[in-house]
Amino acid sequence: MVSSMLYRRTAPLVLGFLLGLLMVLEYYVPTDAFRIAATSMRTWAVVIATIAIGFGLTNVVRIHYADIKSRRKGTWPFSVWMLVIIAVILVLGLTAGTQHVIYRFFFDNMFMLPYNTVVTFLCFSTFSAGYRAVKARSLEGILLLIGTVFVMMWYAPIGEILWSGFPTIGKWIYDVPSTGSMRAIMIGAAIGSAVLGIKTLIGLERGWLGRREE
Amino acid sequence: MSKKETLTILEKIDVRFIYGTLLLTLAFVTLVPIGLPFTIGEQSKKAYNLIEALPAGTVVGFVPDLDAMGWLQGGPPAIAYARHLFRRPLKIVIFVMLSTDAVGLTFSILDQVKPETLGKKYGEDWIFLGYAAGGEAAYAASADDLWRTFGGRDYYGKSLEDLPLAKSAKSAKDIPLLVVPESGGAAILFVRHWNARYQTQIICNEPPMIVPQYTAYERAGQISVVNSGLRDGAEYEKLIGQPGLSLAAMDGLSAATFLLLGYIVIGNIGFLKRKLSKEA
Repeated sequence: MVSSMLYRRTAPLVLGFLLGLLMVLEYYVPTDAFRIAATSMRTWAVVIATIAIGFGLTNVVRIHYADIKSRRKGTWPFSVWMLVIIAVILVLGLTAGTQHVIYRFFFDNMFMLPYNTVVTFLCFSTFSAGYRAVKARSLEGILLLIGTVFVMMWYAPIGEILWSGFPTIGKWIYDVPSTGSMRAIMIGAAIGSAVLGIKTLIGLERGWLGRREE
Repeated sequence: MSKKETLTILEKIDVRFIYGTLLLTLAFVTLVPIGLPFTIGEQSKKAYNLIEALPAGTVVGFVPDLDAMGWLQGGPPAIAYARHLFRRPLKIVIFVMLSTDAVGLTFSILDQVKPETLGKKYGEDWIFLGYAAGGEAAYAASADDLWRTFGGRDYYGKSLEDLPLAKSAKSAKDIPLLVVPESGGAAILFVRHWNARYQTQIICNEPPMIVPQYTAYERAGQISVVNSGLRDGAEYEKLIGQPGLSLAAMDGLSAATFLLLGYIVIGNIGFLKRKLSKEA
């Protein structure tokens, strides 16, 4: 029990602390030793991430194979199709190469085109959402309406043809209130990230361990 | 039809009618291009002038970190940037680190640009390193050592030792400018690891909805120029004198914007009249 806790909880926390400390020290103590060690750690992270892609693929195949075996209602035919496509693309890419005309055909016509079609559907639904949502129901609604109109008219060429003031005012709204608000959100998020980083480093934040406390 | 029913219709137009009018409008401007004029903004000029001012032989990083979803918005501007970079006597290092889709999309860009027709030789004038996994770790690692991050080989498996250009592009110290047309996220990572430590200049093109976030970095001097989606892509195509998909999309953008404005006005007329008649 004790040895289990040691390697499941204590060891990862200690390792995380030491490696995190190394990365922090590299910034504040710019010596060659820390720089070389930190550079190696970053390269290791790239290697581990590359392995994780293969691990992810294996997991996807395992999950969808289980769905096919159990004939999961409504989705198992799509799982079959997915595994077929994975196999075809994998074999094609590894044997013929990603520059081969058939591989490019798959990428351009069976991946990109359907994806772009879905994005285009989003355009239509966003259009109708704009019509329904942008209404002068309250003071905030009126401000949203005015801002929406001016920014839309700034961005589209037709705006400057209709009135020269549209680009000026629209750009101001984009650059000043919008950027200012985003800056405030980003500062808040940055402070939150720094606090989360410190908590993770000293072991107070343990969500990344991925298991319940015993 | 009573007045009340008319007002209700104005406020709740059937979504099929909205989709139908949008589809017809876009189909019309696609088949009958209008070619509305527009002025070139300061941001596009800044990006263009920055690249024009680079001395011959400067190593530039071109990082089209687009994903499939962002291709429609970011792809045409990426092609415009690539055309400009390849037209100039620069050395171009292409690599991606955020999206696995970006490798295939890079080939789509190169298919349009055709570097060999511009007299550019692979290995001497440009190289393609491919994709490195790891997210932020890859960005941090690439700043220190590009070769190690990409395993010492280019995308085609050639050793970087055998590519003359690769010898002048080993880390962020050798690459003073990055051009990053992307779907969102990469430029900020370059700010943290390339600009913060090596003062690398960054030109990026972002989807319009997230540009205000990147403008904050531009104001702080961490990003040199932030361009916004298709509109700045269209302006850039005008600047380089090579019309492309961004310019072609401007008529559709204008038509759809005008139509949406019309619907917003109609919806608000219906809403306000109903509200006022209720209060009366």
